[in-house]
Amino acid sequence: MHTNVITGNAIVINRIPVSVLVLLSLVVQPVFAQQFSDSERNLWSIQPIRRAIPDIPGTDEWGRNAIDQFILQRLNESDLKPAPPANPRTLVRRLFLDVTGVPPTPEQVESYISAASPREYDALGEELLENRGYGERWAKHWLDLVRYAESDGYKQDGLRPNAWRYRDYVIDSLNADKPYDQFVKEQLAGDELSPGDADALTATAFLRHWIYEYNQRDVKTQWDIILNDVTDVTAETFLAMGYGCARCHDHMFDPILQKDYFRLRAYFAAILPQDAPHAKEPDTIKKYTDQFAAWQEKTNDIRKEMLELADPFIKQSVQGSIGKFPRNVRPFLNKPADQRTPYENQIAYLAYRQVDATPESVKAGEKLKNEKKERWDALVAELKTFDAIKPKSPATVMAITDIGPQAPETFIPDSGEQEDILPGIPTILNPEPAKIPTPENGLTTGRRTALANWITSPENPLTARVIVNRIWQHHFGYGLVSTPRDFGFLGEEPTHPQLLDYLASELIRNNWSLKHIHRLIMQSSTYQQSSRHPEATTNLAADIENRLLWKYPARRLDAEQIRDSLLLVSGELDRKASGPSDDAISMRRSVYTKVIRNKPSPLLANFDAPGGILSSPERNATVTANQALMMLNSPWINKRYNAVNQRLIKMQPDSIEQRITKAYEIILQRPPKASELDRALDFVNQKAEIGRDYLFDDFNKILINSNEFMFIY
Amino acid sequence: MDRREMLINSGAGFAAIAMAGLLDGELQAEGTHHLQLAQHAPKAKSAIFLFMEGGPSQMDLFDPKPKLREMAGQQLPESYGDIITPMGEYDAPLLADKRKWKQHGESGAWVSNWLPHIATCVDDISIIRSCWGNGLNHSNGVCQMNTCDIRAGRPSLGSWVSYGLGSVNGNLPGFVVLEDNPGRVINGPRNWSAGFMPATYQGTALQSTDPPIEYLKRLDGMTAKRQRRLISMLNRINQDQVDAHPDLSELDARIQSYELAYRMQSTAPEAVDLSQESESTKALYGMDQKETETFGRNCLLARRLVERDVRFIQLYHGSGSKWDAHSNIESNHTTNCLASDKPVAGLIKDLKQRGLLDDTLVIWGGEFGRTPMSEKGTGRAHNPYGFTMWMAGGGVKGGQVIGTTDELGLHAIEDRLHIKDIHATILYALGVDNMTLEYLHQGRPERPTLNEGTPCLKLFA
Repeated sequence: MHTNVITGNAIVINRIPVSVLVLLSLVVQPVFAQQFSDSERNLWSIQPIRRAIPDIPGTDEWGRNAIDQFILQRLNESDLKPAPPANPRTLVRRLFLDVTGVPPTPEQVESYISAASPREYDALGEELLENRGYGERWAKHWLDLVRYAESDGYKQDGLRPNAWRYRDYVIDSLNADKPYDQFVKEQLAGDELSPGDADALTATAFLRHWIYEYNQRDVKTQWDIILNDVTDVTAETFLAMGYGCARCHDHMFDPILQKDYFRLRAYFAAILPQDAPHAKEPDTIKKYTDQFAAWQEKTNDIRKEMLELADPFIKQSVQGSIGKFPRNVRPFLNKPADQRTPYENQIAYLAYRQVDATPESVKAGEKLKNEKKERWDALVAELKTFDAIKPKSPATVMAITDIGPQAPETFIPDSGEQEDILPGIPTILNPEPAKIPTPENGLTTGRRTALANWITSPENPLTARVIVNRIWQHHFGYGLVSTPRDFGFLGEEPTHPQLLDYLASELIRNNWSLKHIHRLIMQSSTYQQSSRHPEATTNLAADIENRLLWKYPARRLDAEQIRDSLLLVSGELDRKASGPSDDAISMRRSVYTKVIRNKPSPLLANFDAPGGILSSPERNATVTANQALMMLNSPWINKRYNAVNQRLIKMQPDSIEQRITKAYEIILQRPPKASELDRALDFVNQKAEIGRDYLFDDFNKILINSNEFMFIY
Repeated sequence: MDRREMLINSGAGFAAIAMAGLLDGELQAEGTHHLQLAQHAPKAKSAIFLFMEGGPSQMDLFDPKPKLREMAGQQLPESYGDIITPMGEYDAPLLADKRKWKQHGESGAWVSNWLPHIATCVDDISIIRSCWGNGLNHSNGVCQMNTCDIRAGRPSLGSWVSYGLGSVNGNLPGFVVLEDNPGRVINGPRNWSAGFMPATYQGTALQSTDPPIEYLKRLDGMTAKRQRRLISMLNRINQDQVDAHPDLSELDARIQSYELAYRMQSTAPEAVDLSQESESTKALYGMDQKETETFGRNCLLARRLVERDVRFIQLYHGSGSKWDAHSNIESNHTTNCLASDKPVAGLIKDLKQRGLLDDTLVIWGGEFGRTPMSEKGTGRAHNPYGFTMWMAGGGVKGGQVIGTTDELGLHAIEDRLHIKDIHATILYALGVDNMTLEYLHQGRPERPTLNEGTPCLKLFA
């Protein structure tokens, strides 16, 4: 078997080697481009969502809600039985880690255990969904998807000091259980749909997370790359469609034409990055604008004269800078703005971000001489006397707007065709160009609103399926569709298609409430199963990957869970919420630490946190020696171990036995078994050159490094 | 059913096997050799990539251009097309080189007097004058030279090698990176990241200082004996979960990872312990001279890593774009050539005298070359359109010159080798077919050279 696969060197998709498929699609390309085959039209993910709940009788132990009926149906078909319920301690730890990202405290465990019942369990789940930790945990899954970072990437890797506002927007939206359709709409078109709404504006940073090189002279190519990036991320995040393949040719496997790629890209053709003023109260910005206008009026003459003095230097700087752009950009820059096409304006706007053109940025004050210099200094002093009435600039937020009401054209590159591609959804769903609403204020194109409306339309077969699959994935470790980025022919089909559709329909019926889906999952017997099964060996033979969920899938904690759990048990976790991010060495939750693209946190990166460059719908869970070295020898991590020790000594100063018991309760959320206590006592009582306290320290370190701490069961 | 079978059953084919192989390699005790996954007879077991960061100038080192001297001071003729330069100095006059050129060795390859030591090795070297890429700026260029793509996010070449071939030495990482100015390289550790592949395949930064690898050193008070006791106890406790979940192989892998970590604390310092090297060896690498000491040490470390079966070793020289001679190329390249020439030549000679050169592919080059046009009067701009790299050892036929640039050294014209072709060539030497090695990522088969790139077979004997 091994030999065959090695010599064959083939990747097999649905039992047809890729090479054959590639060949086939090349041969049939002309037809393929024009019309769609039956199998393409029948692609499961573009069929309407169907709701049908199987009628499978449950048992006393099994069958708390509809989810279990679907799961049981497949298990029955394979002659498998689900695992028994997890014990209450395991379950409460699972729930805390899963929903809030950190384990429970011993007190939280005990208060639940003492009254463990299905009702108590549901109440606890409800409580955790209302806990701020829920948003802090689940926002991270979303931030992975949208390649969130707080630096530009590229050589300079410049900081994005306001990016955190988007992170807070995601946390707050999840905690408020903002309807998912609204959440999507705000990110794609918040500026158009809710002008003046600070949250909606902040949301558009979704379209700003691309990597960016601030001094890239080849502005056209960089902009092209940015538009492709925005297109790819949108398709992957909301639709789980691999549009990327269709950028250069009709998709070889999915019914996505090359034209469809550019139809999707055309929705974004007019976008323009803006660092917009941001204030929760709309009045604040109005007040600022008024005050600023007053200051401008009063200082008009002074500033005008300063501008005249600085003019030669500004002209010199602008002309010098323009000459540094490629020849295909320079003409745009030399034209007055009102004579440029929308595209030329976009490129000019981006190019001018690199040009110094104010008296301050050209350092006019340092360059002037003699009387002019004296006059300049006098003007500076005079201007200063108006500082008292100059309002402080409001905070800004990374946001998106359009270049104007008219969109630049979209062409298919290298096609030789000069047809302006209009925005539209995949041809297989509707070949007509999209109907674009005209925005009331007349400042933008309305294209992104049209896209947002289509994506969140209940008739869109993908959106709800994609997001419920992601929620399922993060509760169980893998989705019902195991390729969360790809719902096409290159992805896998759902293991439980009806369950996926049931959850999707539940989402839409319940006003797109994500918490409703969490609740259904958490309350199911499927979720509450043990991660151990008495007939594991037999079941593995039938379903080695546990795709049918005959037990709960145990798995390694992810990077943030490890870091945050460590801080929780060491008693150092700083619960400060919101606001600018801190360095990785801070005691705040990981979601509040800086994501720097070229300098990832070693702890998080070592445990597979993505780098914020590509959309990452799922994470690896590697086990490496570098992780072990870091956990053993990192000075920062060892300080956390020391804090655990100090905490335990303070709690139980006299009895080493009770101290060990406490260590188990705090670190592993359970008391030690008698045999474990004996083993621990043997360890710390070793007759060795090492002192007993050192060995106690080591023992805590062992518990934190243990498989039990590092995994969710 | 073991893990390997499980992965094959999951439909991931060759890619999964490669991964299982590596996992096994990492998990095996004491570095026993495991399943080799080469797809044809490999010519090299290891590769050393000498990355001259910032972009060395081809027309001043390996690609003499008499025409450039003739036309110095004039404009680039229009027939050369519209060239984008990153710093935006357009219409700058052509700049002649100021070098003395000589043909060297039996092969008679041209090398300028900036590299007198490498010049003595030309019969072992195959010079490729016709490289090209797409990265106009350092970040793009360095990214592409590492991943084939100017955009970030893909696995680096060393990661593909680790993934495709696995690790031979169970006690050291299979992909190691050495920087002459640690922490300064453009794009940082992203250059040796595994991209979308598991972190298992990422490069490990190694230094000649103590500790050579981050987190390798035990903290004060933690003796080897005490740590041994700690890990043994940890293993016993971890075994409880292994017993409870026999099908979760990661749990056992964690036990093995701590054992490997424990061993690495002695094997890695041993690997970088240069006190075992003779003074004459150190002198061969220039370690006895201030200018060449730093890079000489890294080159010597590279040889020691090759001896310990590390698969892919990347050495950055001039990390932080030190070769980036936008102005005053004379002083810039004088310094950089002096610092790297003898160490690089020493490495080739030492590998050769120890019989290691046949199995070790040595690659030399930057992220791009430089333009024939001047910049700021005395420097040269970035040139991804045509530049020189060279390879030696690992089955490479020495004494060759492959490809040409135009008369001024701006564009590669004959036997053009894109960075993807260069990666394909390096993979070929290591026994890997760039179009066969696949990693299934989100349902799509990803290949190391973005489904393009052809190995240059002319290079090999």
